[in-house]
Amino acid sequence: MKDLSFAYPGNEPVFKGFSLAVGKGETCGLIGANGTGKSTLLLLICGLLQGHGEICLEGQVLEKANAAAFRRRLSMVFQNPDDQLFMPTIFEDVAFGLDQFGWDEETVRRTVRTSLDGVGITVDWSQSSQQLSLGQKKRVCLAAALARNAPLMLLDEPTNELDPKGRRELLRSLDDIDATKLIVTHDLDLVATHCDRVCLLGRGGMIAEGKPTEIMTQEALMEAHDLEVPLTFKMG
Amino acid sequence: MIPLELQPHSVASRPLATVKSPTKLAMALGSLLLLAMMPATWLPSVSIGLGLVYMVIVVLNRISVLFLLKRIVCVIPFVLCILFFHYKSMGLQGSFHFLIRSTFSVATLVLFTATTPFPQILSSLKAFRVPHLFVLVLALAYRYMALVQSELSNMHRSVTLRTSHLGHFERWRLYGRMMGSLFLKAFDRSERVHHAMLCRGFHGDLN
Repeated sequence: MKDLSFAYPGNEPVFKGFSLAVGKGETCGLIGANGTGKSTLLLLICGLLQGHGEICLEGQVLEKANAAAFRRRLSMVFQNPDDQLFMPTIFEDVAFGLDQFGWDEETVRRTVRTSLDGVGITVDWSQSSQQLSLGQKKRVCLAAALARNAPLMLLDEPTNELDPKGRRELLRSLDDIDATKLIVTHDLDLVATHCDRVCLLGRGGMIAEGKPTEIMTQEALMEAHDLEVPLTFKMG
Repeated sequence: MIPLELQPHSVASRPLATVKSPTKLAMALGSLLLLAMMPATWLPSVSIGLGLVYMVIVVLNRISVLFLLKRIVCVIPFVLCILFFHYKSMGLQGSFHFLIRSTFSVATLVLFTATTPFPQILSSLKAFRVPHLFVLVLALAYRYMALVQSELSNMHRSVTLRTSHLGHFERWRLYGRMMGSLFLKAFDRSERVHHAMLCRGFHGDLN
């Protein structure tokens, strides 16, 4: 992302000249107080919101005209799984994206099976995702994103509202993913333990970026942006 | 989330739940066609026949009669509304026939939907070559009905906790105003769902 600017109509700019480069295979955590534009940034990367500036993925620049093609190369896990799971069965939910991209039936079936197995969903896949626990729903969303095998994966609050077991299982699944990951979260321990790099966002854009050990151990910086040093670092 | 009790009788242990759903859909459609197209002279015998069949279904599947009646009664006002406007052309006997046909049609649909799990209803519609878009819209409506219900019950709980001093009338006025907020929340969710669909490659065509 280069010189990205965006404002919701009638509001102060969320981003002003925001730039960020994420390396291939890197896991980057985006942290910041509420309203600093973390989720907005993900929507901008997906081309679901249009800002000014350049968003580029492996050499392809996002433009209004090629937004659909651009989205083929990324997958996103939304904050609320109920927004993402809308098909009648778990299987169809995971297969939805693949069907849309015109994959043949046999490959879709095989990929869906591999993805659901990969995130440890062992329940009957012909049942509705409505009957699953929140942790399972989140993992189905992750399976849907994984199935696409896209080079970039965007995750919006993946551990939000999960119980410790659900969180542990989701993180284990995340660790197995090779794609470049951009994770928006308030779960600072997740960033401390699972991210290669962290970006601290404030009003208007980037405040600091670097390794979690460099950024998240600065108590004054964290507190100035309504955050705190994660327990992982506090406990040493 | 509070589960949406739309199909309390679709449990697998009940006899009608074991019948294949396309067969049930065919039988239901057959009954509807019969009810809609048969001559008025057949009405007494067909009504008695269908009534007996439905009674057997209700007893065998342990369907609560109150459950069935409640759903039928919900539709009666619409039927009465139609009768109000067409009474002159139908006459007393015609109106009575219309009421009987409507009641049995609703009973047929209630029995079919109450004894068939929703994913099976959708797959039988697909088997009957109903357009995929229509099936998907049904699936989405069913999927999100539960969420809207959950949202409503949260709002209801919140109002109940904070408005113990209000009388029934004031509380209902408040509920009326809350509908606007519910609409906005539903709109917001539809936006997010659309975003999720776009992210997964949706381009307006489902196949």
